[in-house]
Amino acid sequence: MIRKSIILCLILFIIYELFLRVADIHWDTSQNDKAENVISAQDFIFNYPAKEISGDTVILGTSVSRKLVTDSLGKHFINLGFNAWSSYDGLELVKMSKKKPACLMIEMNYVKSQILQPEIVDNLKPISYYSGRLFKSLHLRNQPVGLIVGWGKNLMNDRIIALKEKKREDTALYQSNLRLNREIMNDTVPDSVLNARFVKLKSLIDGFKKENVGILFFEIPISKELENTASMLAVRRFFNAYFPKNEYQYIPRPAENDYVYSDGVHLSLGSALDYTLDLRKELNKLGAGSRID
Amino acid sequence: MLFNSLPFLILFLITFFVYYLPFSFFKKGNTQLLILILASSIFYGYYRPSLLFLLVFSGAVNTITSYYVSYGSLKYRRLLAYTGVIVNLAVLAFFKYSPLIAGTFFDTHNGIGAFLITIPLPIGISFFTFEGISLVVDTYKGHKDDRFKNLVHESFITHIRNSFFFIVFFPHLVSGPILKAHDFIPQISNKKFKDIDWNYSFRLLVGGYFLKLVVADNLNDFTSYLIYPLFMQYSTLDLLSLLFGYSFQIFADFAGYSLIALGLASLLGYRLMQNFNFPYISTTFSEFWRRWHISLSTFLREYLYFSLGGNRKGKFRTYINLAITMILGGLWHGAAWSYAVWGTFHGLMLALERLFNDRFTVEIKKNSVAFYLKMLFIFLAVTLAWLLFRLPNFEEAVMYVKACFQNTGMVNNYISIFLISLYSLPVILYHLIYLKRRSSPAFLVKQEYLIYGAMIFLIITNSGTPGSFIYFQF
Repeated sequence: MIRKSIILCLILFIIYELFLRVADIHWDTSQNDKAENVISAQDFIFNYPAKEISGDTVILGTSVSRKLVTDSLGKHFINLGFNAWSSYDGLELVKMSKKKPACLMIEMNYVKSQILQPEIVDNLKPISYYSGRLFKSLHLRNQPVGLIVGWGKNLMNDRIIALKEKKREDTALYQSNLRLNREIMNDTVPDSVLNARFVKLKSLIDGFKKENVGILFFEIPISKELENTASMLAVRRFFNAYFPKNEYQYIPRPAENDYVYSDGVHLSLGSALDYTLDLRKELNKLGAGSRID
Repeated sequence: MLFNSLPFLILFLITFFVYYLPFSFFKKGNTQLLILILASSIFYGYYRPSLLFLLVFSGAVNTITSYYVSYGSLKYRRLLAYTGVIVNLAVLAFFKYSPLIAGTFFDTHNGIGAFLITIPLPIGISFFTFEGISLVVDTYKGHKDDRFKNLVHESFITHIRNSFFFIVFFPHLVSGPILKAHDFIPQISNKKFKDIDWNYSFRLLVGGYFLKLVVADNLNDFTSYLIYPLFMQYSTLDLLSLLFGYSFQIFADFAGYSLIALGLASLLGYRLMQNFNFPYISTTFSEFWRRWHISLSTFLREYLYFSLGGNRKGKFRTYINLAITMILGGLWHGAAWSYAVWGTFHGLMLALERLFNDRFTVEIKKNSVAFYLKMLFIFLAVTLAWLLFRLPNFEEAVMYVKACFQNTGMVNNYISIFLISLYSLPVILYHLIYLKRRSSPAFLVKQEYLIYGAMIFLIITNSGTPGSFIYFQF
């Protein structure tokens, strides 16, 4: 029984690996928010060789950045916006992977400090790294269940978008989310904690700067009701103190806009595209992102 | 160390290799035991070596007490046995319940309350202190009952080796099954490679890792969002699917761990007790507790319920004893009053069930509609009670139930509901196959290799985010 089971498993594995190499899987296969993060990180680790990204711009941020329609910025943009994590994690990942992009775009909306999650770090350990390089079937993006569910989601894309819109139009839910976010964002983090986070952030960013990686800070618009909450003001104050505007480049926030949000913090699908296009214009003005297609 | 981590795999492979080398058989298997004690110490102290001090202290107390209960002065045996049990319970109370006591009776910002709340919870303490109690109590019982004789070797050195090995043996050390001295110590002997039951170990290990990595870890990627205030934004259907998902996850997580523990122990020549026996097919609460976490429920029955008088002191005392046993069993799980509420719920259900059975005789035929309805009822009640495990803050659990009634108009997340159902499916099939095999034992036996082959394939390609086991926190 043991021998037969192992042989069957090997056959399934080989067939699946071959299938992944010939099939064109262009749909989103993530099964949840955490999986989205890990897939982005694994793509960055396994699918972007160091040489190829030397001219690219990597966006580092939170779920707020994740909403950007990265393809609309150009071919040479990689989005490492992590749900529930922050640009700090992205910076750690880029550093640990020893890759040197042309430019790093750092989202300023949230700065959290945490140990880079083991599910990401593990991909950089020798056994996982080399097996991941060798076998596509070991990537989270290619999990059989994710592939099948993603295929189904792709077929029902219009219905899913309609449901998301319906959810967004639920004003009671929106107000409840807004209230919750206001509570969270008015809850101030002590300056000593923010200091510690920014010391770490500065050391990471300056490390890249020394290696001639371009650094660009940007703040994604959020709902007017939350724009000047205590945490937003504190984070802006710390960015200005640690990364003065005469030494670091900032992308200006769009002054007047009519963006729509799903919860006051995250842009809705349509507004995410609008903002991405606005961001692209700003990038063009700055001449940043060396290879904007 | 986690059973699903690379350091553990390396440790186990080295241990297994050295354990069966010819030199390990010297001194009648003593070397084999020393190898396992060393490996278990590395396993336990890998991340925090300081934890080993507590383990050694606990082992020393139980070794010395049990030895003198067996060979010490007849006059003091009872006193010594009580002392051993009390010291074990005191250690458990100090490390596990100090924060609860502090939060309930003291100001946690100042004085003793501030000190108590900072006491760390050493991993596995609930398990190894219970095993220590078992060693002391079984030894004491040995004076009256033949089943418990010869647990303590005449040579103190051999007894130290045996009892430490009994407590620290790594497959059961941090999350059970909770061993009983009279089940395990008689198994200690020289083990040979040729005696390994490979098929038995293979089934347990593949089944265990599949339940943990594919079912529990994937479900956890969804149920980890079952926290306040996030759940307030979910629709009723989303909330229910998360709760059912958690019910399947907790089974897959803990049963998976237990199967792996049994499989690993079997590769080293030891048989641990079965900890789960398809609990979600139970049609009564008492049956559920005969099938769920069997090592704990039998421990509570043998060492607590019987000590309280069991069912020998009249019907009313039986109901009270059941309730007390379950409340304390609930508190064993965690230092929060919600665990006591969870235990009380089960205790109350067991008492009511017994009261009902004492007064009425209702016969339900197996495989009838009523039989399956009862099964469904027990599953629903048990699942609802798991909410207190996921949300140990009682107020949050109440808010969750309220949200279930209030959020009916919200948009459902059908993809998440579908994925939770899909990852729960193996647990349902696992139980259904068992039910089917009760009437047709040969069902799917010939095709077993297909099931195991597919399970290994999914372990490799479709595992969830690796996480620790739920029962580690207890």
